[in-house]
Amino acid sequence: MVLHGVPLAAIDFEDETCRISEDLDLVRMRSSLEAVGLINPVILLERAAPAGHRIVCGFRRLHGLRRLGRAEAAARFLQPADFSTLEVFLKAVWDNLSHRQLNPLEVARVLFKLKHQCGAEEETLVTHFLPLLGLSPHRNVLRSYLNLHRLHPGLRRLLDAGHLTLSSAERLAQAGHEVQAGVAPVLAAVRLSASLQREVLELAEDLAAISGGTLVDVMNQAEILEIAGDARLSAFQKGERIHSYLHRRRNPRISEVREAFLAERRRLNLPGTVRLSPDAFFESPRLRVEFDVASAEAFRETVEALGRACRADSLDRLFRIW
Amino acid sequence: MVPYRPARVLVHEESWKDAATYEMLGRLRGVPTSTFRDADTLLCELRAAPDFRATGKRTLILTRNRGSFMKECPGGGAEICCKYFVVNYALNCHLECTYCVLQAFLNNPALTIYTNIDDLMREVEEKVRRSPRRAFRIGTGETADSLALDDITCYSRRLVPFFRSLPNAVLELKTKSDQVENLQALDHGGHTIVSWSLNPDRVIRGEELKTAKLGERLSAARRCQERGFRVGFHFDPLICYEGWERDYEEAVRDLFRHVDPDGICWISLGCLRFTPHLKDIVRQRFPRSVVPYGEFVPGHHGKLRYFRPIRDEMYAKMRAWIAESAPRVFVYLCMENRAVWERSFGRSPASSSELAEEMDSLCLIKSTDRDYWGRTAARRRSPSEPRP
Repeated sequence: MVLHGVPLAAIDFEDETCRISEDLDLVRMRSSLEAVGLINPVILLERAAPAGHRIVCGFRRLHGLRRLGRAEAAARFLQPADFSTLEVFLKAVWDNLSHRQLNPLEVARVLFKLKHQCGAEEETLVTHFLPLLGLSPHRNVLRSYLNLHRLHPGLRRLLDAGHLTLSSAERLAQAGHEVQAGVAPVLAAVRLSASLQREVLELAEDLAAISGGTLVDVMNQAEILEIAGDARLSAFQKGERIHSYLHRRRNPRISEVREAFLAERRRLNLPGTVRLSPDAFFESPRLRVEFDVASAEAFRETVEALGRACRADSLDRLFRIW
Repeated sequence: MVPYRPARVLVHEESWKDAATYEMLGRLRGVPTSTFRDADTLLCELRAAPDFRATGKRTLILTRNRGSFMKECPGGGAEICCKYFVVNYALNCHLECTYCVLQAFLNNPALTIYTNIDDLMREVEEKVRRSPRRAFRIGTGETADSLALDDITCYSRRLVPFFRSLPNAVLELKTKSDQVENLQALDHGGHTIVSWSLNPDRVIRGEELKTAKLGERLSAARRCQERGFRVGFHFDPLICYEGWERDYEEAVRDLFRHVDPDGICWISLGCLRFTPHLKDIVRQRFPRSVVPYGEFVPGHHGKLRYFRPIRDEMYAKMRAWIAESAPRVFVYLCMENRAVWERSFGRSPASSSELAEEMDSLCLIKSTDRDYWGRTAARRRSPSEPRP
């Protein structure tokens, strides 16, 4: 193996044909380069000036060196005449797979490039490359990852940072780029648990379909933008409020009944130790009453409070809501 | 109705032993036919297509059912259930109703017809004769439309006379088609009820894509009444959308313009219900469908159904519109709970058994005005009427 000292200026950093890594600016990589220098040489496809050499393996290392102001890197050259596009790209794939787990966006990029850049057949992608990348060999999985590659940069960042679940990202990736771009700022301003994320997207999609608008129309309504921009709320509180707003809009009758129930329950002035809850989704008129006390005195007070509630008009109204 | 014409027929090697196979192929002349042995390979091939739920139906599979044909209706777990039985002669349906549960339920996207119809009848006879004091209402419309394939199967010509010979059973042929030609010459002996699932034309156009129009279904029902069949109607699924009241009220009026209420055995009402998974399928396959956008809550068996006050309102209004034209027609709710019965009908059957018994007496009543157990027609009443 012949190693060369290659000036960074002779490398085409814009050519990302063989790029797999999502994040090219790793702090850990820079620290390592700073401390001990380049341990493993990069691999380049030799190309004459002015185009410059194409990076095959070592995107993060070379970007790190450039950020550190280094002038050259140790490299091994591949000759274009000796390898097909697929063979060159597979070197990059194997180089990455040999020492790390690819994240979903990187897997998506590999599959996208194998299909559209290297001309790999779908059948080969499903039967050979999906298992190689640790995925089940199903066409739906392939479709889903090929879609994921189209994810908007704003959403990619959220997925990469763990603020967007893979399933939410896959769902959003099916929408057009404009829709993704329109939704990304709102999602970046809030934090949602995985289940709330799924619900918010589903509610917003339903509302878009009902109104004949788009996801952007729904997520950029004044009420939602106001919540997202409210500096008094934490990102999690914003997420919950947006969920609650969308739920009310999507389910006006359910919300109306629930709110009426809560209002009447408040009017009963029951102590905090008493829990009064309706049947699930108000399916029947049954109410569940539970209380929890630790002393005879607390028991007496609770029963007296319940006795007062018995005489209140709100109690009858509580059953009439049903 | 758009008639079913497969692009190819695949016959399981064992089905070549059944006469029904040759009869059906005789009615499908010109359609490429081949034999298969391994169903698993076939399934993989069918499911590999991008829209396999649509393309799969172009393949007609003729095969034998190795399992049981007859089972209790899956509604059996509901609080009030009519204790119906289903017999499956086929799997899948080409009528493309957007809300069809079969889309999520079947793992085989092809349209499958069982060729061992003799086994089906043997099993029904054995089960029905084993319990002579029990009444059996048996339908063929659970995993397929009862009549939409009848021009290919002609199974009605076998089943209708067969049920005539079973004193304690009735067959309900439940359909969204207008294909009743085979029934016209049959001697049913009062043991077959032909019933239609009904919806307003607006719903039919938007959600029941290849089915017969409302007028066509009702004309077919009238033809059946003229041949002495009792008929039934199922406003199921009722679909809630803006303006549903006007459309459904008109559909009810249409029904009684075509059909004599005295010849109606029953009318059922059931609001739309479907699984969360089905919702995704509907959105993907039928983006213009209004079905996924009601106010749903999880209910029986995890299925989604309309929020209870919406169901109450739909049932109560439907019941009132029906009563305006046909106050004595028996109306019941499908897979509902006692509270909803009470809210929308004013009373509820005391139990599933009471509802089942009521329906048994309705359908097994004979021309002598006495049913199988000697009860008279005076016992007939709708659950919304006061109890004697």
